[in-house]
Amino acid sequence: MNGRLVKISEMLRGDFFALSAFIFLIVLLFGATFGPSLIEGSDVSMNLRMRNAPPFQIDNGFGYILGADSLGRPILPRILYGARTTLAISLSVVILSMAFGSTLGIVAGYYGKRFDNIIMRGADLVMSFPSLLLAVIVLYVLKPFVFNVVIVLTITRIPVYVRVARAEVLEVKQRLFVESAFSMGATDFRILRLHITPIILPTLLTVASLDLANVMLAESSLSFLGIGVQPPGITWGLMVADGRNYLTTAWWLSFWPGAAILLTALSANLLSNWMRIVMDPKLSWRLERIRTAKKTRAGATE
Amino acid sequence: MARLTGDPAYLYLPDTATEEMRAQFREVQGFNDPILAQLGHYIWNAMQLDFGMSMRRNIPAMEAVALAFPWTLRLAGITVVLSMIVAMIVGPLAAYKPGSFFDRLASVLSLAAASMPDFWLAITAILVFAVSLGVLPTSGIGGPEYWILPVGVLMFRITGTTTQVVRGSMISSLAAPYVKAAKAKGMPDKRIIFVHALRNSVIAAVTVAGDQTRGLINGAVIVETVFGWPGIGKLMIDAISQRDFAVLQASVLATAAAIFLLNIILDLIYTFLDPRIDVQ
Amino acid sequence: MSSGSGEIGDILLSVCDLHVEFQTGSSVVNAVNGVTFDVRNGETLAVLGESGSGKSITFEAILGILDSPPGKVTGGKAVFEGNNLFELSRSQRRAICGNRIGMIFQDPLSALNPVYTAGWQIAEMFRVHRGLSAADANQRAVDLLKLVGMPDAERRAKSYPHEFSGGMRQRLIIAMALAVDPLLVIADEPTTALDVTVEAQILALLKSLQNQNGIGLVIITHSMGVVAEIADRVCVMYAGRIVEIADVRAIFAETAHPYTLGLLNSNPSSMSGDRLTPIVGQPPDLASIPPGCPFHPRCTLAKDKCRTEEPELQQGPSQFHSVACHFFMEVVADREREVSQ
Repeated sequence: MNGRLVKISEMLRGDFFALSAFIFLIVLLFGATFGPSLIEGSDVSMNLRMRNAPPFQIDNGFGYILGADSLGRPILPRILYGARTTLAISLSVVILSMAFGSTLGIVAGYYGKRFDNIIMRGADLVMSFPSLLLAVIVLYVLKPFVFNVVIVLTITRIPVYVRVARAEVLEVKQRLFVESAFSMGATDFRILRLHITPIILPTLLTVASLDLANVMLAESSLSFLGIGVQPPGITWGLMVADGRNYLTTAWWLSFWPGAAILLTALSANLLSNWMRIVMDPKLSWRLERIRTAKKTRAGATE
Repeated sequence: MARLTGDPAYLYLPDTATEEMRAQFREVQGFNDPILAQLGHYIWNAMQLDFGMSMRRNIPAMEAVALAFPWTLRLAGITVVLSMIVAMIVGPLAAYKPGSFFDRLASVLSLAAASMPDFWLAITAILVFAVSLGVLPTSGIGGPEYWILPVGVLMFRITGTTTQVVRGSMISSLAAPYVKAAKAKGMPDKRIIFVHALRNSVIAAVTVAGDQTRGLINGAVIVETVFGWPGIGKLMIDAISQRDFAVLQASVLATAAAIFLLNIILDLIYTFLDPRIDVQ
Repeated sequence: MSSGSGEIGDILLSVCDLHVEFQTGSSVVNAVNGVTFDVRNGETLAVLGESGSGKSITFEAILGILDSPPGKVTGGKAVFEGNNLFELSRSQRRAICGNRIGMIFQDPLSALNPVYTAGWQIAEMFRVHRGLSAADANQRAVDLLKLVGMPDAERRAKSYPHEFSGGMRQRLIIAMALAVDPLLVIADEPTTALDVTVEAQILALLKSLQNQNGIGLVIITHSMGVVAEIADRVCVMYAGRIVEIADVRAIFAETAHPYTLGLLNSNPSSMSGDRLTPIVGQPPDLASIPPGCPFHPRCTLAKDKCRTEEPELQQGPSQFHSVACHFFMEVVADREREVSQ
């Protein structure tokens, strides 16, 4: 296991973009968890003296390095607080949708026939409807609490996992079937499930990592439109919406939170691309090549 | 239908309505009638495309929808056409020479498209072009300059994905034996890419365009809201903030119908494109 | 249709010491290893060999349609109409393909573009190479279809490749290859994908078209039957090298290379009428060819010299019969004995 970790870290080093993405996310996580307590001037209550303070003015304190909003609240700490909300929601949605979606997909693929039909019809139905629209409507009717936001986003994401899980199970079913027919005879299906799941897990994880960025973007969009997280909650989409009225006078209100969304989504995508290459043995040799090339270079200069 | 989700009097009427008004509302709108009667009434009205009056605008909900829909269609239409054009130029060129400028452009485009929050892109674009440079208007409709930013922003995500798909499909088309045969026939490279191989990838492009309609609508909702574009997306968001349930219903149903229709049209297009499919 | 330029017997294509390498992962494969031969006007040259012998790759390299990242020409010349094809620019080379040299492919279905009609694909030759209008090109395409024996040509021109039978498709390919009167036509296993009756028709068609137009024809094949049917000269390839080259009568009557002899004896259409004796073993792995003669592991006559020294292609039993074997005299003697029995 240790050797595998070493190998993975070397492959990470082989890809500049993936490495940068990884570092960015680590910094973000750290900042979101500990940041506000470490940065001076992180008090996010209103401070009308600092209304619309411009960014890059160091004498205002590090907390105001990105400027302040219309109520004088410093932007950088708010971004970090917002990170907590956004990441919490996004991760919950991804985990929940992966759990439910995969289960449904496995059931559909494994038991087939009627289960398959019903589940796939449902998935198709959800998938064919624009997700934003669905979320918008449901949240209108159900009132936008964070809990509801998570539920709605989860529902819109489930079909993807259903499809992927089902396809994988169908493929694995063919393989295992032959084996079991010969060796085990009457098998406990639970055991088979324990065999199937580890095989399809890597693919599901790759899909999940790809989906993280999508969920983040979806949550931001909903908050931006006013039907996601509501004040006094802080999320990046909401911050961008707040800044809309001040575009001409205080561009930093909308700019920084949006940039945060972009960079985080970008990092998530880069990392998941890297994961895809690592997981696919046919492609991972490319990263290994770089690794061995670097090693030989390092070895030659000694 | 409104019944299912809570007291319709609360859904339809603004928060400031008094209890009296709510009671009156229920009576007039027939919400106190037995459920089956309500359902029947609803379906009957729906068939006639009567979704009730828009509480805010005092016009039939369907009329508001009919006014807004063409704007969205125009926006979406131009976006799709432009996206396809870009994708069918950059995609094949990217596939032809892996690692070349076009290939890297395609990768960057698709990565950016998958990571970009469209509302932020819209706002930043407004910041740069309208506020700082002053060359384009911030919002609204009018002459060609009003279209540039909305279409540009809406195009972003879709072009990225479509280009990627076309590129993938072109890589397999270009590896096909008939390409080698075309070279042996003495066909120049440009002809091979754009006439011989691309024609085989058009199906993949159309397929992804179909999938993109969802993304298109999602994007339209945001773009219309930011740019004040009077389409169906903006109508829906406004209906929500104005608690105009009738309009919301009408818009949602209209959109669903449009998606359904679009899928049928796409299937028809497939049969034209691939001579190997039998028209049944 | 006009005939090819020049006299019958003129050299059309002269290939000299051609080397082609393939880079697969970390290993380099010598697919073609010093191949030298000529093709003359009006003659049919058969290039005979098993799969992996490098016969198709030789001509793909000459035409410039090799799969270029793995494959690469690393040496030699191919002179056609006074120009070394490898020294021409890409567009110059491409202008010669189809125009002066035509190619017929083995699997007609995969060589045809599935989304364009038969007529369109033939007419394309006229539009691109001769600048004809669409209408004229289409008309010429229909005429051409009639020439290659396609029934109901006008209607067929509007059909798609998947709507034709195998034999018809091959006629299509032949029509495309001959459309703008090339001087040289290379047919890569033109009948392998067809059944026997159709095979005979296609071969007859090729022969008659050659006679009509006076072109040079190269037939790449692994079948002795095809060789016997239409070849004038035969060039036998093994492991990327030419091991024997002679006119067709000499190949059969005075076989000088053990491999050729083995092919004769293992082939059902062999003229000897004896029992079939397949050649022992497999073609060599081109990434690791044994030293000496590449055929020695499978050769019944192999001696010590064969294991260490690679034989050159030199004059054999007669002036126009070259062979690459240290002990070709024995082979000729064996063959004469067989034939006379």
